Amino acid sequence: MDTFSAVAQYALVALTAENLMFCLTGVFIGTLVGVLPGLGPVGAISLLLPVTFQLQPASAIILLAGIYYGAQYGGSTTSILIRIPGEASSVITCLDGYKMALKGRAGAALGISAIGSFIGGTFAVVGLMLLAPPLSKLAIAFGPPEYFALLVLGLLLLAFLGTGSRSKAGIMAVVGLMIGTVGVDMTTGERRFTAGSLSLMDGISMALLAIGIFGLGEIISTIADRSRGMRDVIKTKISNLLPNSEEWRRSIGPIGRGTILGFALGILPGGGAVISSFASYAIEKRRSKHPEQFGEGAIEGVAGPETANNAATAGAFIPLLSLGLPANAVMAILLGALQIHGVQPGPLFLNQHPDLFWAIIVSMYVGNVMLLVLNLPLVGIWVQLLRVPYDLLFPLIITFAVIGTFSLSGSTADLVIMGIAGLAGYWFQKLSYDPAPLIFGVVLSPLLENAFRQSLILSDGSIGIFLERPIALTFLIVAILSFTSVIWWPLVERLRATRSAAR
Amino acid sequence: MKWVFKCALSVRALLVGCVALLGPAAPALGQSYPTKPIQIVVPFPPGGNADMSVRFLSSKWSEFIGQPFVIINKPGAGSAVGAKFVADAQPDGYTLLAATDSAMVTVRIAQGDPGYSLESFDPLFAYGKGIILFGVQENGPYKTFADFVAAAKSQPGKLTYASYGVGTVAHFVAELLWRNVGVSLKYVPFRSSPEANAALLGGQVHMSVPAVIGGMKPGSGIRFLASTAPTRLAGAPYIPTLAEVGQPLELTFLLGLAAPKGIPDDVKTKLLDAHRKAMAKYRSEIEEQFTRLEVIPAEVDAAGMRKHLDDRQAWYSELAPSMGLAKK
Amino acid sequence: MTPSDDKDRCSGVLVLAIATAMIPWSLTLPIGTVNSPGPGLFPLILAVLLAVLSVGLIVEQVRGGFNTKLIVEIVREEGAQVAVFCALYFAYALTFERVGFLLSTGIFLILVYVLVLRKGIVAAIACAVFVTVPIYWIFDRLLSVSLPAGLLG
Repeated sequence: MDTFSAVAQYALVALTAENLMFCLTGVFIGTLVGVLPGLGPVGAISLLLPVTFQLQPASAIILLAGIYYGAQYGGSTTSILIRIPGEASSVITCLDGYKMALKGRAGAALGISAIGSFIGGTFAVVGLMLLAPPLSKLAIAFGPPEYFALLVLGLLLLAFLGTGSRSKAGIMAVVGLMIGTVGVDMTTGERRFTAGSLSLMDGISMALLAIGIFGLGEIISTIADRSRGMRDVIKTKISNLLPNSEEWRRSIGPIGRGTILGFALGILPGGGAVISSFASYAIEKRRSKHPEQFGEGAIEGVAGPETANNAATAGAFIPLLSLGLPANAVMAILLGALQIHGVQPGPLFLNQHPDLFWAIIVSMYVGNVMLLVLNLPLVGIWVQLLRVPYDLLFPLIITFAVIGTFSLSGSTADLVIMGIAGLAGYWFQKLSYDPAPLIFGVVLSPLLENAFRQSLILSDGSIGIFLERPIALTFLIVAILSFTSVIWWPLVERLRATRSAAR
Repeated sequence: MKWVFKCALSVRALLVGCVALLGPAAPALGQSYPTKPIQIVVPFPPGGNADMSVRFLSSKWSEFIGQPFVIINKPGAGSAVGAKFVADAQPDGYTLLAATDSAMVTVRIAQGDPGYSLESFDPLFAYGKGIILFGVQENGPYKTFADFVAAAKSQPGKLTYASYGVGTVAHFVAELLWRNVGVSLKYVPFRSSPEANAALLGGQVHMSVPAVIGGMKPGSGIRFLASTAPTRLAGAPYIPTLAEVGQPLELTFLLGLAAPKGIPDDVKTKLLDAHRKAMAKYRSEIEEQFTRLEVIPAEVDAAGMRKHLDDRQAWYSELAPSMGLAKK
Repeated sequence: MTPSDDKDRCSGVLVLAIATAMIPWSLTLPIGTVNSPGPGLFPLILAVLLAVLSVGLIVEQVRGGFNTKLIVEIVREEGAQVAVFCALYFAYALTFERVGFLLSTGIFLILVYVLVLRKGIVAAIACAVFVTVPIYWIFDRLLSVSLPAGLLG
């Protein structure tokens, strides 16, 4: 089918006044729930589900999808301002976004998040439009061995970044992986390290740890510093609101790479927004000429991940629409909403419901424009929040952290775990341990272990399965090369130096 | 992203507002049950067929019971978290469980003591049956169920099947069927039915055993050799039943309502009446919606539901040791 | 010896202790074989890896005697305030559900203002009420994020 005539034909469906209104409502609600801790897109979408029973299928999906990608725009706001992630996919933004705010560049951080999200979201929709059928084939080709190899690569990339002690980064990653093993073992149904608690059966949530380590940890650190008479949180004058030309220049590369990375990882089942944001951070830190600035307020560490997580939301539509495979909880509700209207996504969806497919695509373009227009003026308002004196801001932060945590599962145990994570976060700062590999380890641990064990079931216990499959083997070779780069990179450099000296 | 769907956004205020506007006027004060909205706890994340079917049905029940129903998702521990919540609630009829074989039977066998048992509940009624399907690659070597069984018999323990998790209804149903047929297959657990289907499409496994067709119609790459439905499905009449392929086993699972033990009899009657009246008035609409959600409409009373659950309990516990699940 | 060496060695010892404790805990789960790993294998590998890494960290700066000066200094300078705050937080967390959001949060904030931030009692009460009540209203009433009502409910 000619893609562009299709767009023109079906754009009309999406652009009715009614659907535009649903789109605007969706992205507005999405922004709101993204900003507020304790309210996620899943909650908001299940709230609106009964309403969509009465709507046309196109309107219903436009509204619900708007909430989903809108939430990704809002999620970075609290990460940057108060170091509490609004959404799981904005956890990594706590690192450099918050440091930027401390330096008076909150406006730039928020601005580049919105712009990066816009670019990532828009270009990923182009990818969704042009590449959906071939990419769904690629997603299927990704079996457990490929997934395992990719995760190993990702973990090594992030755990062993240029700066700081390798043993310490490794320790944090392994501790994260260990925390990730808490809960019911997927392959045998055995309970591990749950101490008989039902709420631990699904493991310790990464969001909970992030709120504790970053949000509460920062509060404890501030209290500690004050007891020494040091530091008052944000002293620096808040300078101009938008990124300056230097910041723009540094952000272009990360935004471009983040778009591709987010889109690609978004397609993979179970992958999605969270992993792509971490991967983007790792890659930007690797590529950077000043990796030491990461964690101290490098704009690349905000631009890349915030772009990637938005691009991933568009990528996640590919397995949903072409395989009926929801990549995350939000997609599962969208699937349910479509079914209620008698629409069943799957390999035949594109042929049977082209109108609906294009209506979704076109609404996502429009929605991203709306989000940019909505979010840029908000930057100015959010930044004003930093003028609130810390004595008033601090109880707000702590209450947000508690509400955010309690709303995850409504259990006291989670509040206690959050407190322990906060104390740990404080000590991580004091002893200079980087928390990012730990959080990433928690996210990856179950995925890694399941992929490994599924692979071994498939191969009758032969490790060879990872070496026989070309995609898996490639990932593992890249992983080994990057892991050992400390050893061979100096050799290459020396060789190059002697060769140029010889000339 | 697991954490996101735990956001316990109990949408009471807004939802109550919406439904109250649509529904009939609330009864006067001082009247009997129900005098306030009724919570239905769904022990799964939103979007699945157990969740969607009870959402849809309860909007019809409220017309006859005079109060709105509020759906609360409490997923976790393979549905044990939500079930435990209801088991511990007051038996006053204001907290009900969207009960399936999963929360009531399989979770307890597969994962050990979750802090409740079948005795913690009063089953009320079941409104539908869920099915398990057996699918292979459409252009692969197996055209019929008999083909597949023959292949599995010739290479015992070599063929693999994927499904949505260890100790789930599909896992028990499949193992029960394999034992009846006399074959042995290797089980590869995935997280959801669509993931198992994708693994089959990608050639990772030989068979997928999902609980939904999920868009895998003929021409999409998957051929379903059989389903556990008692008769051919309204939405997919081309799929043979187990009886038709020579395995006359009743292996559906129930979707219904249960209450904490000790709920008053008049409350039970009122809920059942509301369901019966809703079915009488909206039968065709409800059945159409169920077909879309791949739920077979059924009317099973409390005793029938109880018997079904007791039977499953007996079958599956007996089967568990051979599945490596009996160590707790 | 630089201060960071000192910190790393001390924390390295702590991590080693955790790792050593995790190894027997992992062994309580079935380990399985390499060909069909059980639920205990992955945790066991991780625990051993952690032990190795922590030994590595300790050995990395094995020069110089074992010195806990820097950590002792951190604890002496900041420990009291941090301990008071954490004690208040955990008391708050444990009573949150039973006492309810409004009451427990209000009392917690007042105590933090007075004991940790050294504010006057009047200012503390004013700030606590100013924060807790609107937040409760917005989240519980407006947005229906159900917060425990506790004793007030």
